[in-house]
Amino acid sequence: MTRRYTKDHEWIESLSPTTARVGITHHAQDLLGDIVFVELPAVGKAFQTGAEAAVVESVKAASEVYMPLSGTIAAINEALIAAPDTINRDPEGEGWFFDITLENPSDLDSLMSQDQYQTLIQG
Amino acid sequence: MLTLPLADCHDALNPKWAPFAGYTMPLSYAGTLTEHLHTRTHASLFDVSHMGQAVLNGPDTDALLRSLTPMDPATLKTGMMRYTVLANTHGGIVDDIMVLRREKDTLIIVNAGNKAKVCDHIAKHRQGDVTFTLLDNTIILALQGPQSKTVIASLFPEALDLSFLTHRTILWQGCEITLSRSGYTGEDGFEFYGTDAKAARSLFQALLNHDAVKPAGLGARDTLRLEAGLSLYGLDLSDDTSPVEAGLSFVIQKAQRENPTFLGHETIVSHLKNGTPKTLVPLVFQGRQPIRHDTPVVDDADHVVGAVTSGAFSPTRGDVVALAYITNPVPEHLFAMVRGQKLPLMRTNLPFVPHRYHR
Repeated sequence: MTRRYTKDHEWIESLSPTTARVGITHHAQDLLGDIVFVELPAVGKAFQTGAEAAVVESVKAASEVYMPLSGTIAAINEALIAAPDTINRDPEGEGWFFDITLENPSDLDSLMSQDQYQTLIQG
Repeated sequence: MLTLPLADCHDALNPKWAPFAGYTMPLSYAGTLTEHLHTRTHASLFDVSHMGQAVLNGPDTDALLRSLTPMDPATLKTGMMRYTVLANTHGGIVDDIMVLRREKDTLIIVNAGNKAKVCDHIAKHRQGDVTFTLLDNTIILALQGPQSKTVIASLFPEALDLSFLTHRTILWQGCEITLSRSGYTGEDGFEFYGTDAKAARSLFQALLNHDAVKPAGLGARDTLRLEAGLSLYGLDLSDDTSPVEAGLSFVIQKAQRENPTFLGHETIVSHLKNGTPKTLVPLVFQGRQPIRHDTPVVDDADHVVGAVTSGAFSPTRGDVVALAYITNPVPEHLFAMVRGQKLPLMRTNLPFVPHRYHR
């Protein structure tokens, strides 16, 4: 499966030819600090690339989670609502935010590879 | 950006740093939630050397205090300390300060962001034979939490008999340090006021060497003080809020109520007698969604009736606590407007988490 990254420190991984899972990176959770609240979008809601799809609040501040690619919310990780600290513990696994049905699955290739993302955060 | 005298000690502990009031400050070490809960159960060491130490000296010290603060200096004996405010001409707060009566002088602790303003204010209003000197590169360390006393017992047993808001001088490596039983977390705790960085550095290490003690940063300091219902200048207090509006009427001592002599007393005594245009109201939201500074507060009819000054998820309680200035009369039902959602707020009394001071 291909995992891609955005400049907003989100990861997106294809689950099938038309669907992908979205979360924030380890680097993002480290910047945010202790996460105490998440607001997830409604299943079935459509967003364009870059639209605010979710909110994550740490002890320090509120941050938006943007739609990495246009699509429709197919599933959300409801376990995060009761245990938002999962995002700190396992941001790129159990701490996923939502799954989307991609409008244009080929757009995935336009996002950063892991190497490109590592270069970005070390820069 | 200014750095703390003990910045190198912190570097070795690899904290996250954040700018605050012109200083680069340790924000967190193990994480704000972890540090917060450790302070409530064990003991944490905070470096708050960004705060200013100023010394009042001379026979007219009390006259100056009587003319610029609502305290009654006659009741402040050597070895005591008291929280008060410097008020301005229209009854607002120039700074909230701690006043420690020492044998040879009177020590004033001022907020980092208010150092220059306080110096100007005092220079402008100072009369008679008294000097006010802001010291450079001073150190303040705060040891906070229920196990603080066992740490103090091992290093400074002579200070164990201090009760809340008293202090004494101790010697550490030949340097005099003022040690008080006080703090900004609602827990039992101690604060060290020093002027020698070398002695402070070894004191910092000696305190951290104790099993119960871990370092804590500004993030935990903020959530701890809010749970304890202690206001923060710049958020809850300003040049345009009177101590009565801020819920600090206790700083206006009896003698100053009966025969007020302090700057701004006209407004402040009128606020005491006739009420205030606005009041700082403690609020609880029974959820997890943080309600932050500047969040509008509305009534049933969606009219804006105030704004949040401090708000945070409370690690000890597990819900959300906030302080908000609300226009009087305070409506029965209040709501916070967060991203288009109307979150119901409950009025409560301070502190949000009970104090555990050693009285």
